[in-house]
Amino acid sequence: MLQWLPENVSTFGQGVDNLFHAIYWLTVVVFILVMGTLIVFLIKYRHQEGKKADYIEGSTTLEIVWTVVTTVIVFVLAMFSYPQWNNIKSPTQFPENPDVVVQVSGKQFNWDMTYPGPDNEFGTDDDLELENELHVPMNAVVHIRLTAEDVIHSFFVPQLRLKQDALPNRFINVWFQTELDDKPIQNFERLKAKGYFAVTLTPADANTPLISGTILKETEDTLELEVGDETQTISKANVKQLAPKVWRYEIPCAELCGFGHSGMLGYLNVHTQESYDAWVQERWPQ
Amino acid sequence: MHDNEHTEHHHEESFIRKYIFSLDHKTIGKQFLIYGLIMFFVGGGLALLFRWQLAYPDQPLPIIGASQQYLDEGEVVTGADRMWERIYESDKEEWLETSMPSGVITPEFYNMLFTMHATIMVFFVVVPILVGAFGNFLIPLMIGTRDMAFPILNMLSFWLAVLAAIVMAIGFFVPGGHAAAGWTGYAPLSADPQWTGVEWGQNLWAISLLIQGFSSLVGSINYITTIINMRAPGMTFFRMPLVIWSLFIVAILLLLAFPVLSSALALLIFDRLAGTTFFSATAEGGGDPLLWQHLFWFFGHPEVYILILPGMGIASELIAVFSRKPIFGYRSMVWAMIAIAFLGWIVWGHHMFQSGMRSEMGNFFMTTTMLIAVPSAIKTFNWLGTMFRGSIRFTAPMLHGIAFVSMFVIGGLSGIYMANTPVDIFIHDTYYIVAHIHYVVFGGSLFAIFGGIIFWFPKMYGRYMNDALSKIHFWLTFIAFNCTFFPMHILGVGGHMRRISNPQQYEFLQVFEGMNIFITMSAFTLGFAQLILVFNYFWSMYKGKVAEQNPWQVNTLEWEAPTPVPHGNFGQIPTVYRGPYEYSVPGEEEDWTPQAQPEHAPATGGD
Repeated sequence: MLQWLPENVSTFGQGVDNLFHAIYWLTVVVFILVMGTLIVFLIKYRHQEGKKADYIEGSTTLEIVWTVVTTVIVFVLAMFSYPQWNNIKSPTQFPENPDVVVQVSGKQFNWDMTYPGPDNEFGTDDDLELENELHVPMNAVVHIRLTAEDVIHSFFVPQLRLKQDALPNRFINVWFQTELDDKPIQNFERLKAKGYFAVTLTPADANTPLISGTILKETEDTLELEVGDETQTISKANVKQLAPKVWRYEIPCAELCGFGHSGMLGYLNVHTQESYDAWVQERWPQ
Repeated sequence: MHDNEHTEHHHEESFIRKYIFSLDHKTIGKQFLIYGLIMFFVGGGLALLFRWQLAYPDQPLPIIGASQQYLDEGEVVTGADRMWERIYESDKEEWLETSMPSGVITPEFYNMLFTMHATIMVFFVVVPILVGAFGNFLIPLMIGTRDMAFPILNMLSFWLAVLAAIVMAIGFFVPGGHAAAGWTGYAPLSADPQWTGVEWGQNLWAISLLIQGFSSLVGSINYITTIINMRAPGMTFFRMPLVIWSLFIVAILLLLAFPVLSSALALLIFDRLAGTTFFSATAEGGGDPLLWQHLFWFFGHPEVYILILPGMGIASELIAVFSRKPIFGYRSMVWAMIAIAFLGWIVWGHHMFQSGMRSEMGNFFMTTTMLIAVPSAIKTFNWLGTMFRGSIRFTAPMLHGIAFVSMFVIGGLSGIYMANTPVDIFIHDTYYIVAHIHYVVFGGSLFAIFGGIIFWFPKMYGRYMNDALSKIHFWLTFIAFNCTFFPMHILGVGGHMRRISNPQQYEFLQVFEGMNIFITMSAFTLGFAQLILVFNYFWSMYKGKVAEQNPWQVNTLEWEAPTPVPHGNFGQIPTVYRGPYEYSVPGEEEDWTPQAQPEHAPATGGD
């Protein structure tokens, strides 16, 4: 069942996934034991003519055993969970000196992103406001000041294993750091699932130049790319390797926020350092 | 009919006195049961509407939706097209036109549908049936008394519930539509009409729940008083059947929890109508949206146990009776229920893990929440222990009892994921929680309700429900239920948010299109399977096989009363000599020893 989990790309996501797997196996084992016992009892102790049930009122020993065993399991699981939770949600444990600080504000039905600009201060002239597009460099520590303008929204990036409600008139700090690899890849099935967005392609034919473009659509053996102003369809067989430039993940709103709740959607664009520098250069030309 | 009344009853009662404004706890119980079943179909129907939207987003509904030709070219082809044509041509703004033009569910209407589905199922189906119907019918009969302590309050409790249902129903037809802020009614979305466009719908929602709260309060005071003061001679607390224990604990929970909701609702009404800002925050000041969440969930989590504890009680009765064995660990079953009820007060924060609470609070609430696994495990193992070396009869009620245990196990285990704060970050507000709540409340409570109805039907109406129909209904429901709700765990693992009207708007949810269609088809099967139950119920009332006084050979006192149970229940109040689960006692000839049977005297009743 856990193969349905979206790919994880954050540093703390692996800890969440490990707990997810641990609980999964714990519950699967308990489920099989309990249901197995139930089914055996149902067959073995079904009503048979001339056979009476045994008069058993209970067993104090058994009651103590299953109370103690369950309690111990609960506390062990809790012990492993506290550090993960604190690591993600406790502001005192956030990595200091973030590379990027952004304010994200939910309002019916958009995510407003505000960058403080080169002076690193909000509310100044060099602030940059973007609707629904969040840009960060790969593998950098990102701090988000999360708030809302009207009702409660919830900032959710499935691939980061991050979710936090955004409340009006309240600033909640969130952090994340991606763990991505920008080495060119040769074997690429289901690129979209891995969040690839802008890429540089090396064609198999050595005489053809590199292609830089944005993936619009992916089928089993073709890629539809936006290159400049035009759309190209390229067979995957003709691609020697592919180097990521931007990964793009969806930021749905996870808390009911009104009639436009469904479809309230932002995007997290994770750039390679080179691509991010270019983006910064474009926004704040020096 | 009238002749019978004259000969059978001491008091001559008019039809209205006997069937409408009745003071008899049994009639009131049946009234609550039929009330709950009617609302069950309303709530279920709403669910089928939004399930259609989730499987086929923005496509017209079957039957009442317009045809594709009509949508594309305005060409009238089907009868539905003609209806829509008429609606569009009339000057009056019709209800259908605003909620689902051409049979396509709008996002506003979608929000209203799931809000009202949950509101109705929680407040108008499960609580009225479990507490109102079973509580009323069973408490006086099972503790051995003639009626409730306060019969007039009891009648008031039912008619307040009817009033609440009427107010809630009006909300569907007011301009702006019914409440659409979720059954949890999170502020500020619910607190200010500008955020949803819903005006009186949300007000009526709050007023109706206030009235329903009074109904529950009145009922719970009645139950508590009756159980404490009116038990038959010899009926000590630890000789009470587990279902009575569960209803006793639930009555206390209701008494303490509902006033919290009522005060939250009152503040909400002030915010909406009097311009206060208890639940909205602005830079200039005001209240706090989180206040609503704390109040709502401080009520809401005990409410969840109100929904499941009587189910546990009913399942315990069914499993003991049809295993022909004493309940394994009767006292630990009672203490486990008390522990669950107590823990229910200190876990509300787990609904708010992602609300921005301090991480220390998250750790606290995770620990208390996971501790609920302990009493839940005790109960599950004791049910298994009850079946161990029993003589299990697979009657229709028992099938439901077994289904209750197995579905409760799934619902309990999936709760561990939600309780675990790091994992909850990912699955919070996804279909995982939808799956979890339905495994507990549908898989748990509703199977117990179905089992309970079939089990006590002979005492209620003097006839059996049809066995074949009951079993067909059980298997269809069991299979369709699992096909509907199990895949929702997978949706949750995939990150599928709840309360979105169109999953196709998201790239990462594209893979779930087929699964959503499968769930919807299963949900429709599940919905239609319930028609069998209703048919069986009403058919058996008049045509079912006539039942003897104690058809299942049960020990508890309700089966000592004659069938049909007369006004006043018992000829002479029975005396209780033993606990409720003395089945297969060594040395006894029969495999059951009624509570009211004096030592070394032959069993009475039965065949």
